[in-house]
Amino acid sequence: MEHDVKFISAIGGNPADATHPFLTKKKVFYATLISTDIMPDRPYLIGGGDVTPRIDMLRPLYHKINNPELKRWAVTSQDDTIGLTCQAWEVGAAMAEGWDIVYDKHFSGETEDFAPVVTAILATKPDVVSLNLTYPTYVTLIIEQLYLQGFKGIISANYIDTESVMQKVPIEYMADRKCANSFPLFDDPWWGEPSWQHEFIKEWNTKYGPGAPGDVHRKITGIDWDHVIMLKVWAHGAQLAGSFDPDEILKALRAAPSIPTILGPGVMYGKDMWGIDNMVSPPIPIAEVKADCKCKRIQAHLKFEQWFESRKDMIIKVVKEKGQYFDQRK
Amino acid sequence: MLKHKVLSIIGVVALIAVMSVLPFFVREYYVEILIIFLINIILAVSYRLIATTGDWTLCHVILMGAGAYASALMAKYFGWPFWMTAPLAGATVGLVGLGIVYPMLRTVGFGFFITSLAVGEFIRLSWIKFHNPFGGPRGMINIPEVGIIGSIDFYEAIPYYFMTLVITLVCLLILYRIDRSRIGKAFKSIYEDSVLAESIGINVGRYRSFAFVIGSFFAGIAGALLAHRLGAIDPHIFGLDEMVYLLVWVIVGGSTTFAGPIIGVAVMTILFEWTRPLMEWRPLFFGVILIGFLIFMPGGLESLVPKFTRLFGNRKASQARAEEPAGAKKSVV
Amino acid sequence: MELTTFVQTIANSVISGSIYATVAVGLALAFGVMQMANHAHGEFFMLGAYVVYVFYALGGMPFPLAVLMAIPTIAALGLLTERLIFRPTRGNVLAGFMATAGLTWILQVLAGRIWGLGFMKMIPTPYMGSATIAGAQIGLQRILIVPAAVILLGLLWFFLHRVRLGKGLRACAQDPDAAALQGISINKMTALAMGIAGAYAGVAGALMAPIHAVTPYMGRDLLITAFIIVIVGGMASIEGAVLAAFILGFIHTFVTTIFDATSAVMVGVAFMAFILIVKPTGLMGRVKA
Repeated sequence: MEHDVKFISAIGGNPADATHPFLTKKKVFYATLISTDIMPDRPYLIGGGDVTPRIDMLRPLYHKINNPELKRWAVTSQDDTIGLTCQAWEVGAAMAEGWDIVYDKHFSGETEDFAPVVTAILATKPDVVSLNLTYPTYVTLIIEQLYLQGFKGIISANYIDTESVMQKVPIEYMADRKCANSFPLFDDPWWGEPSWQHEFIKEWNTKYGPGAPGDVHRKITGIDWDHVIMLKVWAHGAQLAGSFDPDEILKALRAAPSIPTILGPGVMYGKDMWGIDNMVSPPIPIAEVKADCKCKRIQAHLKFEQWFESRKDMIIKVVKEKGQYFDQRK
Repeated sequence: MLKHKVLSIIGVVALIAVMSVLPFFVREYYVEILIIFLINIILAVSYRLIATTGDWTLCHVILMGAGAYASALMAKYFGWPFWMTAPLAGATVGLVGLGIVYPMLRTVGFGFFITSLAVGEFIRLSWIKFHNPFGGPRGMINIPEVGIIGSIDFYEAIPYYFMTLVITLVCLLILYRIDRSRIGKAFKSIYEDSVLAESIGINVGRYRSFAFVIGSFFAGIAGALLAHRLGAIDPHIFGLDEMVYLLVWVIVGGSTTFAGPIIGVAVMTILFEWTRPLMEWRPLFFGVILIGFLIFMPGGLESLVPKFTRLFGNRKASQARAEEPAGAKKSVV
Repeated sequence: MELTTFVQTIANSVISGSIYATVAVGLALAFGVMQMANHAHGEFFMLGAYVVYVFYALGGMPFPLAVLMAIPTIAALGLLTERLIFRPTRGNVLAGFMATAGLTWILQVLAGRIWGLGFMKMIPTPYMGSATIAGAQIGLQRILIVPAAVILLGLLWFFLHRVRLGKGLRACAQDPDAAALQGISINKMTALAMGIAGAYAGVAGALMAPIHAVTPYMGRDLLITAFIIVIVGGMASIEGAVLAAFILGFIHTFVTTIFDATSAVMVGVAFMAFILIVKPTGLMGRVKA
């Protein structure tokens, strides 16, 4: 209010809930990282830069293709907005791909000691342990427990920060477990050279890398670019529309056949998921951890829309049963 | 004495006048701050009432949260309007207070403090655990706002502000009367010397409960005001940090006089907004302020008032104050 | 519950209880000696973890040495807290508690400013790998907590019961006036108590650094648990605190495994309320809470 803001880039979740009536009234764009914030009564709330929960739906597909003989899928995440909704979508997708869901619970955000949680998961003898969109801190601690308690299957999640986990777990273990996740590195050879992605990384390192003026004393993580992607989309929309008017921008974005994003060309999508096409949907890269480079490398780049169209009825049915569909949140 | 009283009344009237015109001279953002400010005043003064018996609790903010949840649930699922949900929320929280005070009465002083913390946490965690009906970690959204009554749209800040102002004044009046009554004196006598109080027939346990329930009632009202303004409640805004902020207001302002907590809320709200640009450092400043006051000015800012009036005021007024029994000046902390 | 799960949970509980005990004894000791209620105890724990972060993760010192570094560092912090906060507020428990609440904020902000916020600090696990004990697989890093706690608690017991200075502490806790008459300096005792409290909380934090998420706020939840333990144990009783620590460790771990962590904390609180109603002096205390 004080600064006449036009565009807010935020993480979303509970603050999005609290602020939306006000922001909608004032016609301010609110770009959230959490796609589940998107709702029909929030016309200016856009999301999708963060690939949740599309990636969580594509991972069961990915693993089924690579390991058709496996059957038992365990999934967990923290019990907050993100965890509850995204896990529902993942479970729906996994069931649609023929997986048996053997563990589908949430752990409390207050959890400090993950040993009991992992013990409970392993008691169900899963082939795949998926962490959905568990926050990075918890991911590290859970994977540590999986390692210590001797899990030998596949580990899969929305985001795994290789650096952090390596502190607690040998890289060989991570590579053997695949540790599939999205949030790729932008100097990954997959993108090709030259590429927008490689340029982006070079630019980032110039500004924030070692020795740079804004040195942040760490390598670029998988999530540093999360906010950038939405800003670019908005800017592109403003360019197309030729104005800052939010309704014009949305119209322009929805009409565009493809919108350039750092993950590839995307479209505005999401009516079946959120009730309104306010989600930017680029193709989703899936990476696995490799021991040779001690990092993750993209293995596949999947387009979401067609696959979703073929499975959506079953998936939405499951999400509704869990009470997590957009119109069920009262 | 009479002059003192007249001056006080003039002061209060002037203050109310200022509060009534203020919203028209500031930006909308600050009106929202003022609404929260008034809610916090109800919270702080009701807290102080409980503290006059010597019981300092760590669950008061959570009781406000209970009021917020209660009124939200009533408004959403029964469709009751605000003028019903608010007092009912107060009553509900009063009952909750009655329920939880029993194990707490088994403890005194510091033990009481921690027990209230644990019990409060229990309540807060139950909001997080039980998605039905509390909404779990996501809290509740789409709480019906006060809506339009007649031709006034209470969604707008200024009408809501005036409604809150009226409610606050009513609450303060009631709390003031209680504080000044025999009941209020009984509360203070428990703090002074509970054994003595018991010996002259004051059932200490019953009065402690009474203070706690009354304080809880008003915390509930504050919660209802909050819930209907925000339209959404998040269980994490009623945590220990917020409780310690409440303590800061009461310690900085002082808890011996009725006005002390009000001064504390006012001063700290201003500081809070001022330090917004330095947000990451803010808790540190408040920590320093808290420590500073506890060690160097345990009486709080209110203890400066007599010194102030002695300097500038009328000799008779300060003389009259000096004649008040010394015990009344003892800081509750 | 399957047998392997059960055994695993028992193992988890013992480790949990060991950490709780190491943290809680310092709190109980400080409280016993002149009623010093340290709200910043969780931050002592946190800073102990940061000591290991600085010396071991950043500085390359061997892990055991880094842990030992936490002892003098946080003990010094304890001494400072006693001198600057508890001594001026002596006689007023609430004031001391609230002032250390202020200290909590100060320490949290400082830790955040100095070492940055964000997700947990990266601390390489010094002893990766796990051992299988009676069917349960436990990380080596966690296993070593148990003997460490045993040694620390044993040392404390020895100090309090066999060493003159320690006996003075107990005397001061039982009856400060009598102790003063005997020539024991109260100031010396309070300083000593807070020094030990700091050292123990710091070491616990240091041991947990590779296991826990290291952030400026890692001490928050521990604080409430620690105070619940002290109350259940019997305000000033060290033995009570140790017993209560293990009981609560078991409760928390089992309930978390079967249900979830939120329920575990709630059950812990309910247990405390139960003890207070049945025996307000706590398990082994003599002073009413």
